[in-house]
Amino acid sequence: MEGWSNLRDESGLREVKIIQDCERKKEAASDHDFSLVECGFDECKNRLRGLFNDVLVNFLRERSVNKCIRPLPVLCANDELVDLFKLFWVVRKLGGYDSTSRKNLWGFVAEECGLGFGAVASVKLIYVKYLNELDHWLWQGYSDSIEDRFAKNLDELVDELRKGSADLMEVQRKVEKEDVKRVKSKFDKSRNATDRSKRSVHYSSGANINEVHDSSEGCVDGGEKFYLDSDNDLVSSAKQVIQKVIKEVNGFSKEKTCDDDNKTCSQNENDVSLSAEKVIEKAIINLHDIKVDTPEQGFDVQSSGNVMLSTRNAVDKVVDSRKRKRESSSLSAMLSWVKNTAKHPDDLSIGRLPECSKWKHHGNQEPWFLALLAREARLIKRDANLKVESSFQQKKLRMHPSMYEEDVLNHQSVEKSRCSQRLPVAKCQSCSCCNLPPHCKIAVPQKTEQGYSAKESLLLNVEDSDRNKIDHISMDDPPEREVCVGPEFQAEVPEWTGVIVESDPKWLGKQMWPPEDVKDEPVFGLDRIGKGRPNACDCPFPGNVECIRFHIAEKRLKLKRELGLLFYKWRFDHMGEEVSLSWTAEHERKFKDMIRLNSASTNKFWSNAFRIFPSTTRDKLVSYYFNVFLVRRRSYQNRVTPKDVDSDDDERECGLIGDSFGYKAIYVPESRLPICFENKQCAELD
Amino acid sequence: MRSKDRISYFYDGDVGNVYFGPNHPMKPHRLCMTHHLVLAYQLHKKMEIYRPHKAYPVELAQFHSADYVEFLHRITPSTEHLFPNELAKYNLGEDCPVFENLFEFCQIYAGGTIDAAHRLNNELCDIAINWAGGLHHAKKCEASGFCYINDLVLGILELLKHHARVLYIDIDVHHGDGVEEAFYFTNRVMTVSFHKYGDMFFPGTGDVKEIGEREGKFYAINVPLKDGIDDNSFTRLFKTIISKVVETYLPGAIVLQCGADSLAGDRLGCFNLSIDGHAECVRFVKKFNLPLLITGGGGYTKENVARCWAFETGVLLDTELPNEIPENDYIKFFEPDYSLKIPGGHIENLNSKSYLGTIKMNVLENLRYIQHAPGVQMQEVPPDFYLPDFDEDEQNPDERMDQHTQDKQIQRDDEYYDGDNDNDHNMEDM
Repeated sequence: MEGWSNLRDESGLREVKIIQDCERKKEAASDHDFSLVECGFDECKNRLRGLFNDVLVNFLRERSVNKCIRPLPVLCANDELVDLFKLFWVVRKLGGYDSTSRKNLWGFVAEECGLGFGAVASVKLIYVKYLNELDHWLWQGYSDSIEDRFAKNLDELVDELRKGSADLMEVQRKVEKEDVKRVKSKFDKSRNATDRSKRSVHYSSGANINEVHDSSEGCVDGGEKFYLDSDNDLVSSAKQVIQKVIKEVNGFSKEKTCDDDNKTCSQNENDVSLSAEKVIEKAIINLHDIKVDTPEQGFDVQSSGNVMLSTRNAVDKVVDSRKRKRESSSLSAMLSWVKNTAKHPDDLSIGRLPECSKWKHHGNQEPWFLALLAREARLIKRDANLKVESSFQQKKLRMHPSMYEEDVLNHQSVEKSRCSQRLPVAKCQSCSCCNLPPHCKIAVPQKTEQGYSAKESLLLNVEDSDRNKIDHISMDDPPEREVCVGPEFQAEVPEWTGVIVESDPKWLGKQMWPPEDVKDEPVFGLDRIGKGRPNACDCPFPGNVECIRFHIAEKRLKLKRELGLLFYKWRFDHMGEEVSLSWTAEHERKFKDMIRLNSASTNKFWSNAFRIFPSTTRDKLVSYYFNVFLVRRRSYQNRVTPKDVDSDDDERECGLIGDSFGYKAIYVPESRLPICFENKQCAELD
Repeated sequence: MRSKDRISYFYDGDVGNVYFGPNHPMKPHRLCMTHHLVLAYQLHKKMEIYRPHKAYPVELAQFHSADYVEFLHRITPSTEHLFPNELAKYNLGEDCPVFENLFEFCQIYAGGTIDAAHRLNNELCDIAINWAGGLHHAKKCEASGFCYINDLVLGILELLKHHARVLYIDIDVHHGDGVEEAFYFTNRVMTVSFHKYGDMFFPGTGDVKEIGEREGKFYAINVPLKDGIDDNSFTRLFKTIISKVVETYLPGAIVLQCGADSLAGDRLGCFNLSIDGHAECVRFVKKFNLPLLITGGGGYTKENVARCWAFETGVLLDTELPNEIPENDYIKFFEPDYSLKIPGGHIENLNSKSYLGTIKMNVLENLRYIQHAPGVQMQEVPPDFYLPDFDEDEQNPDERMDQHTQDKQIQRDDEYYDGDNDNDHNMEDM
């Protein structure tokens, strides 16, 4: 614990040093940049925002010595305040100015900054004037100042952190790999440790820091064994480093539990992340030195990567766990604030919201600030969805309406999707109040991988020997949605005992056909089974409307004789266009209007239907809709828009179908008569 | 080969007479049209038709949570505004609206699948058909994707009372997520789903990497496909994977969900399958001669749904249906040419050979793990089926005829049959 307190002090100092470094434009630029990326990764972003602003002010002041002075804060063309930090962040994420321009993503940047497409030009200009130079300076200083090899390491590290993909799995794989390769005898022990860590990751989604700590310790344990075996300077130093990180996490979690004050918490968190970062650096430097000393030991290079990976994971986990814990506490504070404000809108204690330019002077834990962030994030999410949807329409892709999530505006539904769907999107949404960058969406994986056999893991390790490959695999197309697991989702399937459980023989269905009561061979028609429509008939005008109607009636009659009572049980008496005979023209017109009026609002249909047709039963309405309304629409489409037949689209051409124009245009006056009389004819024949 | 199988077909005259609401793509009336077409083709003479019982809430609660079932039972369009929280909790509303007679509708289609499973269990038939069933998205505690009660899960649970292992196959264009999820932890049910995946296509699950967990690991197979897959690639992939699955898993019964939205021209689908291609899958599964439960599923261009399912009923009865649809009350829906075949789709096939190859490799690779899995008691239930090899065209059909000696067909073979209805040649076409 002593080492930890030392580290804390160091990190506190370091924080001050960072700002000083910047002001003095020292070589430590790379460190600074590193901290930028690293911190921004968690929700300390707002804190970072303050830091960034300081740096920017200083930087611009220095620059202005030889150039003109740039005013702050920055307003864009339409007098909207530009969030420089966000702008910088977004562009950095897109790969810098050049990359953004090349990919023509300035519109996206403007949107991301909440300025809309109109501000594309000014956003670009502002970036060039204010931030481009800073960006160059940061990245250049970074690569200039450090030895190439080291820079590469850091670069990888930064990349890794930015992706946020590093999770316990990788450590586990690495550890397992090392074990399999070198410490076969200790394989089982190590597996226990990794198993433990796996389990804890699985269950730690509730942000249990202790468990995360446990897991990271577990994986370090696994690593340690190998290190003890190999008995190497490098290894012992790496081990120390990892232990330090662990101590830190440990201390942090203890601190966390006894500390209720949010602000202090965030302070500590930041400290921890900074010191953890420092530790990593130390580790890398150590490793680097040793590597230079003993270049012939390829084995060391291998393990250095290993240590790096696990350290990185440990730190990531710290960040991760903190993220969750913090999120929950600040979220509840925010929610209660919103609730309170909604209840007592004129309460003086709420006060006025300060101008956004002054926001940075307020703590980032202010509930109103979080509420605004949450709102912002929600809006962004919906925009993104809108975009997705429109692109679908362009592609003429069809899908369930449930995909149109932006329809779901009420809070409950959103919450619903949040807890049930496990969409990456949903995850983002839930932590959006902390303004996480989108690449943080993938948190700790939900699935346990307990089933991996030793052979399999070996296989995996062989595949994953390249570190970049691991990145690739873990980042490879996150699933759109994952399978939900838990007692709320799976069916209870009893073990197979080999004994057949007798199912209730009562429910075998009621036999309808062949009729049970008719023992002798029923009078079948003469048609053979599977007979199609005859090619020719004896009608005077084969194929005309009357001919077809006659054959339909003929067929219907035949069926009726065959089926007997079944004909009615299967509701064949309510099928076909004859259903319309029991409807008056007035009612038919009303029905058509109703469909048209209700086509947009799915759920109001039935209540309206009962209001308009109080005396008509549901059966009749539905029957009319399917047997008459749709058939007529279909007929109309067949003749008027034969290339675009879709009788299922209720919004289309509703006004035209069956009305005086549409109907008369289709049918010659005489041909309408058989429609009405056909049924009677049929009845007479019967 | 003529039908020696005993076919039970389930239909209730009330099932088609519900209305999800304007513009809702799900039109249960397609079931009426299907039934009508089946009768128009005189197919009822070769099978037994049953009216299913209406499943009791307690039966539905075999899988679903009791509170969800209770709520479905209680809710009506006139009272739904009183329960906004519950509606959200159970995902009712947008996709899954509350309509008149909702619960009765669920009872009928679920009852059909349960009864079908009962009949299979009691060896009263070899194939049971319930076109009203197959609502594969419904979850244990919520509705999803037009599905309220997951009849497939209930049917499979019933089949599990008699069979150590049940194979579930899903050729709906959407992923069979409800069934997969329900049996994600068990090796007693293997779920295989062929579906469109990606581009946020509903329901979003069904990646090839979803393979099950715990005991169920490697017992969920997903075949994610892209837009516009055609008959050739689909049936080839289907046959390769399914034959390997059956050979490896040795199921005691098969449940086949025949969602017709994988057909070309479906309102919500994006595949290019013809009815022939779709039915080819049914024909192939039938050839395993295992107890087979056939259900419907999706299908949102209702004329095509009726065509497809009527044709597949014919396939199951070994009756090739002529292309000219016989006159019936709904003939107008089949305008303008009144034929059974549907025009091919025009969606570009985005499934490259290499993509399909990768998927196939992935699936077969995962299948290898279950061959040595100790969890499945492969030995306890000897395979009670005949495994046809779809590649061996030279298979002598006469030999196969001998396999079904316990034939109890409804109708004598020598009646109503002309030589041209003999379907032997179709077997060779494969």
